[in-house]
Order: sequence, then C-alpha cells, then structure tokens
Amino acid sequence: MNPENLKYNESHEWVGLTSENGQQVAVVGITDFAIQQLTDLVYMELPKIGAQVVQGQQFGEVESVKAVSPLYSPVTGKVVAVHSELADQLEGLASDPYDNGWLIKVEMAAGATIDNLLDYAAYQKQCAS
Amino acid sequence: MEGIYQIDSARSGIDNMSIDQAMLLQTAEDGIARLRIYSWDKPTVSLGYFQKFEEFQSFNPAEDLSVVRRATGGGAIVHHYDWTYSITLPATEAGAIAHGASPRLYDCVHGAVIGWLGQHQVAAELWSNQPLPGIQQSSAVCNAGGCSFLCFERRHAGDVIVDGFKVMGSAQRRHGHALLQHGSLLLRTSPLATSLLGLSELGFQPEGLLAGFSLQVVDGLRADFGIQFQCYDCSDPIVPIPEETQLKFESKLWTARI
Repeated sequence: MNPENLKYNESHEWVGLTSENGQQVAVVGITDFAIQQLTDLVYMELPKIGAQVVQGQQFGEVESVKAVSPLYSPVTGKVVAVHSELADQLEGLASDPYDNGWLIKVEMAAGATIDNLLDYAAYQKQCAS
Repeated sequence: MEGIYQIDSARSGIDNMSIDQAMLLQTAEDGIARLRIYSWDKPTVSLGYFQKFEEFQSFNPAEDLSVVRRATGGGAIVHHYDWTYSITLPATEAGAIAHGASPRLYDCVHGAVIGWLGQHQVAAELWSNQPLPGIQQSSAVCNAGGCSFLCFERRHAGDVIVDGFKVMGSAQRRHGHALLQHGSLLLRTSPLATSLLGLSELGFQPEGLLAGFSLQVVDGLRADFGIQFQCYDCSDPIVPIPEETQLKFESKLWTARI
C-alpha cells in the first residue's frame, strides 16, 4: 500500500481501504516511524477472527525491548483476517510495514468512517514535531 | 510535576502487582508521578507479560513457588533477595517514544543506581551490547525460542552490570497517557536461582541501606524530570486498589494467560 494514500491514528497505526472478493475491507498496520522507534520487537498479540474492534480502542499489544504497549484500532468493525504468521517474523516487519506488515483486516461496521483520521501530510507533520 | 513516593512494606505478589497497576491507572487519570520501592513477603516469581506459563512450570515443576504475572514485559524474576521499584509517569513527561518505551526513564533510574553504588565503592556500568560468549544480548532472540527464562540471565542495553553480572533490570508498560516502569535490584543469590549473583556475592552488603538507595532514585527523578516528590509515610497502599484490578492479578486466567 502506498503510505500517501493511507489514514493514520495519532498513536501510529495506519489503515487503508481495499477490495477483497468484492467486499471492502480496512487493512490495519503500524507505521514505519513507530517500528523504527520501537527497535527490537519481541512479541505481538492480535485479536482473533470475528472479534469486534472499535476506533480508538485497543485491539492488540506489542512488546518491544522491554516495553509493552497497546495497539489502537483506527477503524470500527469486525476482524475478518489476522496476520498470525507475523508473530514469528517480527524482525521482518520493519522491511515492509505497509504491505507484508499488515496486522488485521476489518470489515467496517455500517456508518464507520476513517475520514476523521490524520492524512499522510498531517501524520508526517506529527512525526516531525 | 507533582509526585508521591513510598518506601513500602513487604507485600504479597498479588498485592504488589495490583498496587503497581493501580498506580498506572491513577497516573493516567491525574498526571501525578508515583514511585514505590518495595519487597515481597515470600519468595515469588514474577513472569513477564508475554512469557508462557509452561516455562514457569518447567522452572518450578513442584509448583510450590508463588507466582504472579507482571503487566510489564521481559523475563521472569525470582523475588527473594531483591528490592523492587515501580514508577508511573505521564507518558509525555517521561519522553516516551511512539508506542512505547522511554529510554530516558531507564537511563535516569539506572544512572541513579549506578551513582548510589559508586558512593559505596561499587563499580557498576550500563550494559552496552558488547558481545560476551554465552550471554543473550537482546530480547529479539526470544522469537527464535532461545531466550532465557530469567530476566537476570538476559542482557539488554541499559541493564546495570557489576563485574559482568547483571544486578538490575527494568521493564515498562504503556497505558493510555501513562507509563509504568518496574525494576529490580538483586541483593544476593537466591537458592531458587543459583546461577545469579547478587551484590552481596559481588562484595557489597546493601542490606540496611534502603533509605539511601530510595533517596538516590528520588533525587535522580527530580533532577531529570523535575518531579517534586512528597513522601507518603503510611502503611496503606500509595493508591486505592480497584477491586477489578485485585481480582485480575488474583486470577489464574491472568497468571496463566499464555
């Protein structure tokens, strides 16, 4: 996914909309900036397929070098796919955070939006500040 | 920034973890820094947040040891002869980076401890990832299944080292707008973890010096973060413990969550 076309949480999760099997899904990950700041990732805990996630609420956790941190969902809906294999290849996340580094895919709830999130320029500005 | 600190009495593992979590929740609400320095009423293993419970069962097949799970990451600690501390700060004040850790807070507390050890003629230093045979240098190797169960057998940049032995390590947990940092100073070898040398075995007897140690940490936090600490001189917990927090840490579902 092209980072310039994504939306962002202030807490450094990205979301992009895509179509799979004729259905729109929201793909969620964490940004290159966050991964660089986290340095060594050790563990990641993600929700199960079918779990409900809510925009701004915690959906998972990540442990970097001795810090456990929550992951916040940028979108509201139902989890339809989880990138479980990522747990065994966290070192590789840094090399491809916007494609192979996706974490979950979400079927957005009726009325859910990502228009309220930061766009690429606003997120870049936040990272630079 | 306002702050409160307490040199607490020895408590159970469940109470210690519940109070630390309550501190984190309270600091996220009111922005007041809190520091607690404490010990444990009986030998207790604290598991890192992501450690598998079966690793504890392998470590203690008789299952006769008390065990709790921390909210912070890292390896297991045998709390037998150690001083433990917990500090909670607003994440922005702690200089927390995206998603997580505040290296500044590690450096502050560990630097203060190194200064305190130096006052007692103990040469301590921060681990800086120099390779040593047989020593795991990064938690990243945990992913490959080759990680030591015990925190003090691991090495991370910033750990406090004396004569090559790790005597202090810390770990953090982010919650909302607050950060919790736990850490432990190993005073002497426990018969439950004989591979680890404490300060006593390294030639320094720290017992009886807790007040001076605590003040050094308080002064370090004051200097680095501008925290104006008030002493909480009371035997009650430094914050009220919400019932659900206590129930969580009592629960086998939490302790054996993975």
